Amino acid sequence: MLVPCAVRRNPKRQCRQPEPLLDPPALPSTTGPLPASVRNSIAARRPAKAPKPMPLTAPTPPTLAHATTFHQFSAATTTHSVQAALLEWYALNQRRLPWRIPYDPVLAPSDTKPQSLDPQRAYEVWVSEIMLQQTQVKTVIGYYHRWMDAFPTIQALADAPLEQVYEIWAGLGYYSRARRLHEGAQHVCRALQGQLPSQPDVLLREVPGVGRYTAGAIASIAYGQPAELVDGNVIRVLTRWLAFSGDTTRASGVQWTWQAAQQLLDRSVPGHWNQALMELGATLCTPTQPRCAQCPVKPWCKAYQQMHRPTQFAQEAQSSLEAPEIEECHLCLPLDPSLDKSIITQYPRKQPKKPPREEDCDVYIIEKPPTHHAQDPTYLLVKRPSEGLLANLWEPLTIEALNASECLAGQANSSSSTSSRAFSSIVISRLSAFTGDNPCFSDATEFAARHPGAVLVGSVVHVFSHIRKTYRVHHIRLDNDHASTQLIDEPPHSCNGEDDKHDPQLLAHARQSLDSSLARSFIWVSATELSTMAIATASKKAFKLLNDWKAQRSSKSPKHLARKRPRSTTATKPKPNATLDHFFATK
Amino acid sequence: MLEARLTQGSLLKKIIEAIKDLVQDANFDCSDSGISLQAMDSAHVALCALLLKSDGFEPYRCDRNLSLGINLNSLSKMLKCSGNDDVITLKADDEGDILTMLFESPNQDRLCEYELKLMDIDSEHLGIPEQEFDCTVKMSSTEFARIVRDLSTLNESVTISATKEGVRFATAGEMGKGSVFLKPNSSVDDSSSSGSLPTTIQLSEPVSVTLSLKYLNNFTKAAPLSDTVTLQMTNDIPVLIDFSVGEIGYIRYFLAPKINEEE
Repeated sequence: MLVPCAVRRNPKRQCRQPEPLLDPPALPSTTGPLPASVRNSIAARRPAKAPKPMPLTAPTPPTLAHATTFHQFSAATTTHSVQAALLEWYALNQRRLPWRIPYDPVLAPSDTKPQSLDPQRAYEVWVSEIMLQQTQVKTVIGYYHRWMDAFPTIQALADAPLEQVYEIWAGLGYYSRARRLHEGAQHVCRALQGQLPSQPDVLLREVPGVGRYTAGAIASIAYGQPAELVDGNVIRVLTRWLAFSGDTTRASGVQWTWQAAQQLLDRSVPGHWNQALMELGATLCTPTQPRCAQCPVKPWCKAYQQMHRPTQFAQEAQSSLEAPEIEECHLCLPLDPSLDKSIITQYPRKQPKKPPREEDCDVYIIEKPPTHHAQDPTYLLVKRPSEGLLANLWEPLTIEALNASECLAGQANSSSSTSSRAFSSIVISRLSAFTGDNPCFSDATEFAARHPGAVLVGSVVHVFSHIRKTYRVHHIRLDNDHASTQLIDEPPHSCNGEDDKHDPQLLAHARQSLDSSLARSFIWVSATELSTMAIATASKKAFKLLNDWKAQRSSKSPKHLARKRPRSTTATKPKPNATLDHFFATK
Repeated sequence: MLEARLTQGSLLKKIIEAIKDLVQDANFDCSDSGISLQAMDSAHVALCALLLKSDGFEPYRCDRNLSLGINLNSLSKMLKCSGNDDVITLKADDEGDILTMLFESPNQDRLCEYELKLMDIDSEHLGIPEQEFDCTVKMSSTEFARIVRDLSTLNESVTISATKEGVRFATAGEMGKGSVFLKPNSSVDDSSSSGSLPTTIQLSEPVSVTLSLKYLNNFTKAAPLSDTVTLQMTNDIPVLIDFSVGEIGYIRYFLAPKINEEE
């Protein structure tokens, strides 16, 4: 029991500081009865100064100069030891998965025999590898069984309709994988007599949907060909084993990993070796919490050495430069000195993402009043180009800012953005050119001349993975009734006779974008149709901004200011609560 | 000395979650029959009684009666460090001022040891008279939690009235009124097909009590422990709300009724 002497002197300091788990010895502790005043108080809380966290490792020196040969196991014998250790571990720890043939080191030598081609096995490996992309093993197992029940052979898959394929795949995500499997199977049955080729380069070249990884997997696992493969697990394992801190997302890094995978490949059991490598990455050598204690390759792992024996690591890096005819490694990046990440988990390295680039554009939401065809107002949507960002999606008319300097100018001077009468007159004349006879603006020129112009509603920002895009949202009402338009709209800020000062280049650009957009395809949709359409989030944001803006304006008008008051008032005063002391006696 | 090993450690987590918002500090009384706790909230409106029988632990050992004064918030924080599948062992020395907790992962590859400082807490033990209640309603605990949550949006008190026909939870507030009426489900077979647990009502006399929804909401934190909840009510005396904790024991809450101001 603790005597809270410190607390009594200074009760305000109670409960402030988290206590260290172990008492400092200075705190007196008695076991006798305590004075009543003390018993009522809560136990001692002594503000304790938390010790500063010690860095886990000595500060890492910036990149050590080292030779390219440093990223290899020094001797062939080391490679053999690593291979033996990993395969031994794999034999004991492999997960039994329906698409795997268990590795048995006693039977393994039979793998070295030239295998009779087993296209069925190749098909199974192919399906499992495609399913495993971006998806967890646990999820895949069920789907794999159902798939194999539905399409037991490659021929069965090729003959199946695509709908059935999607049906079986439903829930796995990334549906293009299913489609590509289906296309691949049809191609193999048509052009390759239903047999998947056994050489990785042939696979890569001949079978649509098979990439370098899948080709390596099929060749090595199904056909026992000495083909290396690299996936995320392999990248992690190899960069750690060999302390390669180059950017593995860049071509040079990718090339390094494939080379390393090839050099380490155990040619006697390539399929099992590849699976063992991936298994290690999936189970022990995990991205954030590697379980090095259980790792069979720990004695040879250079990242492990770097963390636990940094001096020796530095020496070896240094001495790698002393050998004759070596090349210094220029791929490695300096390790991140932040201390919250252990050295091991800093592999594999990625170059920090570039900040998204800034882009600006003007969005014109063009609204057509209800007509005898449509009950509700409709909005103009145009189709985006079939390539590039958000390809083929519908969006309100959007005009990209010409370049960075233009958009800066646009911010500096609101009237120089194309949000203007000049622009809206262009829109109106172009629209009438494209839509032909539209009762809305039978005389486009006159209509345009009297039109109040586009109103800047505000702007929204949407962040794509690589672009931070600002959408300036404008509203154009194609309303015959100008009187009402004028009433609702405040005088548009850009409608002040300064339009003539417009940069002709800007206007030309606007006209050109407008023409090409309208030429692609355009539709008029109502708000309800809009809500069910697949449009980009950024466009949704723009429409929401417009709706909020409209709601805000209409609520400003006095007729909408309703006074609120409940029709009847029943007193609902909270009743007091009885206490248990009324009912239960203290013992 | 106490040593109690609970195979299903997550139970302890849920139990503490069900108490900690009601009571800040409480004494866990350990004896050879098990671990119990009785504590009232600061306003003395609600009382929580917990019992964990010794045979729910394996093994359980307690040579001398011990009272462990514990800040429930701290205990909850430490228990959050345990995994849901962990086996939890509680240990305390007779004269010690700490509670030691061991968390073992199911495959024994992770062992955590946490020590919680104990406190001296003055607590009043209330004698709760053994009594027969006029009405006993047994219902799904999730249904109960839902009703309480739904009605809390309207006002801060609820009137529970039970007759042979069923039990009604009703409230009225500034924005309007709301009530939920549950009919007793006599046929037991129906329940398995419909998926929800049946409501049963035993009563010798119709009752109607008004209770604070804030407290009831607090009690429903115990719903994860038990599929069913039992409400026992008699007019004008505290209600008893009982959640059983598997075969091991129970958490019971007593709640004093609301009274009319005139009284």
